[in-house]
Amino acid sequence: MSDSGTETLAQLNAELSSKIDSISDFAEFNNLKSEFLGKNSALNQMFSQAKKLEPEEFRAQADMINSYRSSWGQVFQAKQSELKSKQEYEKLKQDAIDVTLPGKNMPKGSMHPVNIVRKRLTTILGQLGYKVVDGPEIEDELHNFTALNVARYHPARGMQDTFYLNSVDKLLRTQTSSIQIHALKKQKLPLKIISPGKVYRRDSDQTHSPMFHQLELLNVAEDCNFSDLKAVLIHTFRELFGQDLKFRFRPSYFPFTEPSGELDIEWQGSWLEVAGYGMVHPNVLAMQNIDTEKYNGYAFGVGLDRLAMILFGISDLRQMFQNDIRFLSQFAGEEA
Amino acid sequence: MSIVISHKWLEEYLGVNLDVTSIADMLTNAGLEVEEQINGSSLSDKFVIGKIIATQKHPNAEKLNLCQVDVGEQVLDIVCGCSSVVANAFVVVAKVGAVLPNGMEIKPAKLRGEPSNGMLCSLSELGITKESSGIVLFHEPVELGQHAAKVIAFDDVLYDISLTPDRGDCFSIRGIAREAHALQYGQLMPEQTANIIELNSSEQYPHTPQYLIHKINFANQASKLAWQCRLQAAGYQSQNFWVDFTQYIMHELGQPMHAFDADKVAGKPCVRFAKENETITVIGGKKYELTPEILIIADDSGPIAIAGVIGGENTAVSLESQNVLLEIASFDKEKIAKSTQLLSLHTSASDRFARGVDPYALHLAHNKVAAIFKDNIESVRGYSSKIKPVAVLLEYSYVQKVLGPSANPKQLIDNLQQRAFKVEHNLDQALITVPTFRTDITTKIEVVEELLRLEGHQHWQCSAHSRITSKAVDYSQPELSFELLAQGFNEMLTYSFIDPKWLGDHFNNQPTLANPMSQDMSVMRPSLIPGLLSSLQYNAKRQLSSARVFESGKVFQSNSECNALAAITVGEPEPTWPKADPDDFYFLKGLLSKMLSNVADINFKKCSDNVWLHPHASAAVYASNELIGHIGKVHPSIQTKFGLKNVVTFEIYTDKIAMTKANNKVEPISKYPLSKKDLSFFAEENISFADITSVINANKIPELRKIELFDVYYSEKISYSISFTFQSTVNTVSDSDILEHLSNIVALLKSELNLELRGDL
Repeated sequence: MSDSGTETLAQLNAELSSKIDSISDFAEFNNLKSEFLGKNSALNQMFSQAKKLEPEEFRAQADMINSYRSSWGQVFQAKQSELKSKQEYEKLKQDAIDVTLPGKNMPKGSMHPVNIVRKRLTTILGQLGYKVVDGPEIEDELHNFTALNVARYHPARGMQDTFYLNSVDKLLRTQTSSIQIHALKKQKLPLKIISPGKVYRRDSDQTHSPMFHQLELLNVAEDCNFSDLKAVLIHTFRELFGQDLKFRFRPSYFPFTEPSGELDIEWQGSWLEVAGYGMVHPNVLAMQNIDTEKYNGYAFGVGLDRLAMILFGISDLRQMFQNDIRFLSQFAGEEA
Repeated sequence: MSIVISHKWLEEYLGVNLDVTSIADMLTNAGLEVEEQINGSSLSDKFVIGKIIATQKHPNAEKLNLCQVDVGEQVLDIVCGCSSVVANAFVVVAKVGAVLPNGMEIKPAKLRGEPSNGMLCSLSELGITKESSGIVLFHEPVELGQHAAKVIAFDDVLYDISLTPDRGDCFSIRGIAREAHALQYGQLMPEQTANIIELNSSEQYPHTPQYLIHKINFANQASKLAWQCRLQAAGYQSQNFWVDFTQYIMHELGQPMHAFDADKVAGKPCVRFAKENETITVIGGKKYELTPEILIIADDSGPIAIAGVIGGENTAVSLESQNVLLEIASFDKEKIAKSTQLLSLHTSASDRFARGVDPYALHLAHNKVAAIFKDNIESVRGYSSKIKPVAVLLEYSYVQKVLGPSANPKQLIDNLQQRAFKVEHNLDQALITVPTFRTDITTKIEVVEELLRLEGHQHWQCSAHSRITSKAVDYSQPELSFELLAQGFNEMLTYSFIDPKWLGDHFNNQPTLANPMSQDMSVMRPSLIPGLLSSLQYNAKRQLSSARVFESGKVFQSNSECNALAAITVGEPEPTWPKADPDDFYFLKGLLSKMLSNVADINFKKCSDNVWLHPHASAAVYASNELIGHIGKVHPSIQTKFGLKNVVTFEIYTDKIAMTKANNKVEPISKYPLSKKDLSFFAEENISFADITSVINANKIPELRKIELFDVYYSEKISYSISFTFQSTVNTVSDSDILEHLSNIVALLKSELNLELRGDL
């Protein structure tokens, strides 16, 4: 091939490179494509010219021309798909939305703080093998007092103000411990239960409400002792409040346990009472015809409202039952 | 129940110094919870002793008194709100310029037009006690104008100790001193030994193991200032010599005593049960009807005291009394506890007797009386004796059974000896003799409790975690409320007792409280709905008139209670973007259906007898033919009563629902195409959608997979547009089969319900 032919092709190649970038629509694209690859293109003319040459020379020329043709073909192919996707993108603009407009309002539900604590505790204790049982809130003297070793005129009956009903011998339970009696009557030993629920005392101020919530735990078996009880308490409260929680176990008095104690935890620099605990009083078991030389038990009770107040920093107990939605909705998403 | 103990008195009683910083913690850890420690304040010399010269009512204020108070160098006009101000009494005066412990500075003032140049102080205002019932009043002469701090022991520390009902032994300086000494020195304090007075009498009284009456010729007078200060700091009202003396001995030794004016008692007082219809007017003027269960002291004329509780007014000592009958007794604690409960009357004496008073304290008190009044004692009668202590046999194995295998029974039991218990070991058990002051210990479990208390709950060994776990219980059972939380409902907790006015005439046998907090919290709720409505009203008044809420809890009937779950939606939706559908009946119905979708055969039947609900827009909910609840619009009159709009609710009795987690069997998925055909019908206005579906379902076409309503409108007739979906698991349902099924359905609906097909098949 003549040097001039080679030169021309190189010039055309450079020309295409510079022109192709400025193409912005399909009309320009088609013009340029026919200019370089069409019937009357320089390339085609060179090819016609080459046909006149000796076969050997023609082959060499044709190879060269075809390599340019295929290279340019690729350039146009690329440009074409570029224009195509640009065209599609422009078309989608019609579907444009304002992504900053608000999403559909999906109100977030909230569990009551007392029930959040209840659920956490039943999960923690469920994993230790305790089963939830429910009991009546309207009780009689027998289940709420007598069977719990609180004799008719025992000073402990004066410890809490009881709500009585108009009908004879009916009262609102003052503690979930009454569940112990129902459970001991109904279920076979050994026994591992927890019972969360409402309790009632005639009292109302910043830290007392006439209705509040407790959770009672009871374990009766041939082989359970005070050391076990301490282990259950420590496990439960560490799960609830954190593993480095500090405890204060103090002797105290409840008619239905002996020995009895109260548990304080250290929270934000002060000791807070969180549970009453003890070994089930042998009188309580004996009244249900349980052999107290063979079996004994342990029990504890916690105030769910109180624990919720500590956990969530609630200062007034009465707020729990005011049901202000601005208060309740703050517990949205709180994991139970 | 609590007792206030003075640190100085404690030290004086023990004859040793105690460490203030550690004693409160020690007591708390020993089960004697120190609820508050009040440290004496440093009062400036602006606080002086004064004497009320004259007092009169404030001309412009009923509750105020004008006092002229002599403070030595001058007489001050002071307005005082305390009702017990009386001429000639000595008082603590904060002069102008004095600063109270709470930071308030005393300035010259005019109160309702009358000048006041100072303030008469109570112990709580002086920062000495937590509460006080009035200003400090002394009746014994004190030098006027002198620094009050010198008169009252201000540099003392007071412990307010909460006492559990079993620890009657700690209801005195003597009892607390015993504990404090043992805690700090590891041993029991040296007890003052009393000369036992052994007195016999032919007459023995019921439930009264010991009873002494001293007749003493000693005229009543103002009591000693030192006593007054201590008694007031400990929460007693100082009155006169005899009252203060008995209070002082009781606080110190734990032995209550009562002084009668001997000249007002007719004949020989004795202890007996009250007779039917007997009454007594007690000190303070209140009259009590007595019953034969109540132990009393009586003279020839009738009751003169309620034994162990309070004296009668007629025989009470006054400042004129010349001779007294001083009673020192041991009563059975159960009897006194019963009297206080029956009469709802608690006194510092009955609080002690009901918890158990050490029978030995009677002898200590008698020794004190004998030493103080010596020659003034005219006679002593009654009966008393040496006390036989209780002994308990305790097996070592029992100690380990209760406390755990780490317990060393012999060593623990030996510790008791430092607490005045006597111990005799015998092979694998011990005979333990309990000191008389521990009236709470009579059985072996009570001894074990004491063993643990002495060792400390805090340091008792804790079992390994592996011992306390066992087969875990499955709690994955879903709670019904889960769906409600997901739909943005807020859970509420309302009181179980509600206002009877919400119930109207509908619930006649509803359980009702005999002693409610107030009338509007007096009847047990038959439903969660009124409580929730009331809470929604509270919110509506605070501009939160649109809400989704629910509650689960017990509801009550005359003889039963049941767990229930109620949800309420209220309010019109605020205009929002994107537009939200209003919460209506069908929203709650859909939600309830979804919640109960695992419970067999839920269906809804029109009902009009639920008092909370709109009679024509409510339904009863059934599960397998059992009524499990209601759903509907809240009755418009109730909506109005609570000031709420667009209120829809459901309430279901969750106890009646078996929350079984059914393990669904997977059905094969049909590989044949499904065909849908839409038909519209005109129905008479009394035809419900449920009528239509029950007719179609009764026809039992296996290939008919679904009947779905996609439109309904009401004009003269009701138009129902229903979509029928056909699919078979064995072949493709042909068009001709579908046509045949549909013509059958159309014919049935025509013949049974008079439904007109709109258009052609």
